[in-house]
Amino acid sequence: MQTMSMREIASIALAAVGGLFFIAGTVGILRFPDTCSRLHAVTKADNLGLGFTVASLTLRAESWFAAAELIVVWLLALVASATSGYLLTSSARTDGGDAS
Amino acid sequence: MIATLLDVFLATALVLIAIRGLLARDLRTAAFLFLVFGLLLALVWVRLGATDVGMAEAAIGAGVTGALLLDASAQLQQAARRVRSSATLRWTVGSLSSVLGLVLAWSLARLPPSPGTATRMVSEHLGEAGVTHAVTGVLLAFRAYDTLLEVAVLFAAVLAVGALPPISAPPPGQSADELLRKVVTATFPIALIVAGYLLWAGATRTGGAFQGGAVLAGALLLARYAGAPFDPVTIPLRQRASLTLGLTVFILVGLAGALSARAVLAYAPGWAGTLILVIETALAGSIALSLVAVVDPTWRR
Repeated sequence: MQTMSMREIASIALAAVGGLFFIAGTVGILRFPDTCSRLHAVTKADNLGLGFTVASLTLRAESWFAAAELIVVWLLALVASATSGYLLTSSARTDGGDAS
Repeated sequence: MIATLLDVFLATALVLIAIRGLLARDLRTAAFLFLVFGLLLALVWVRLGATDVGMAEAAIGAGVTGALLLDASAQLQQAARRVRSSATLRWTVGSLSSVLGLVLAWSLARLPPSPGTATRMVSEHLGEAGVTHAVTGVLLAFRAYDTLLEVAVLFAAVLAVGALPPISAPPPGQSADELLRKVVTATFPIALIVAGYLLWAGATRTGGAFQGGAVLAGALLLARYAGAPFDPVTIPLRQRASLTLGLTVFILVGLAGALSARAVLAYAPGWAGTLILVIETALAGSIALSLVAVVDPTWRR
């Protein structure tokens, strides 16, 4: 059997951790009682889940440029998720009560 | 093995979500399920190797259409969102659709295996189309007629929206959040670059006017909802000119083909690549503005 390099092992481990965060985020959005805590769960999946997945993929990237592109994707997703999380929370608060 | 499992999971989820969406009692729930359906369908297209279709489905099928349906259901009163159709009607529509589905499935199963003639012809003649991406070659050269009519359909949709009675609501974004404004100001140029890249990439790989136009539409809508000082669709003259620009350029280039290449919608030898880029650039702009005009109706005042 072919042995795996350290890089492959690290990549698989990071992808698994990322998957765990996505599962936790999904469970959170289904189980948490109100808008704020649900958003907390789903933004964790966006930030850390995607972050670990991107980290895993950069280890497999063909070039430094491809790795940099992946990181830019993650940074843009971070900005989008933080902004939409904030907008959803503030609209839920001004609408009075939680739209749960 | 894992790939097969993923495909089976995707196909099953697609059918289950479609059933849930059809049976949903609340229109907003149905709209959300339609959105999820569109995103999963985009993944299915990617799995089938049709990345171009997947991107168009995600951006236009799920994104723009989903936003339209959600917006429409949000404007209805709580009571009006309940699905109220008689059981007879639902059973009739359901049975007719099932019969249609069975006829289609039966015909598909009876089709002789494809000899691959179309695929072979496209790959043999792709050089004449002036592009190296087969999808763009088919859309803008070999089957340009279809694409021309598609663009005309999109324009007809904008005309239909414009024919609705004017609404009194102010344009969105007048009380836009300061954070949203700053984030959109910072990311708008990035979205423009991505839209331009997709348009340019269409000649050699996945991309093109529809994908670039959809990204541009998303950027313009975000800017509008963030209270951007510019308003691309409100000035009547410019609005009509820009909405029809793609169609006009397409028709003019097509007619010019009758003189230079002896056939309508044909390109003069050696000019195909350039003419396709000209058409696609005009199309991307018109598609973007048409999508903005359909999603945000506050320009009809």
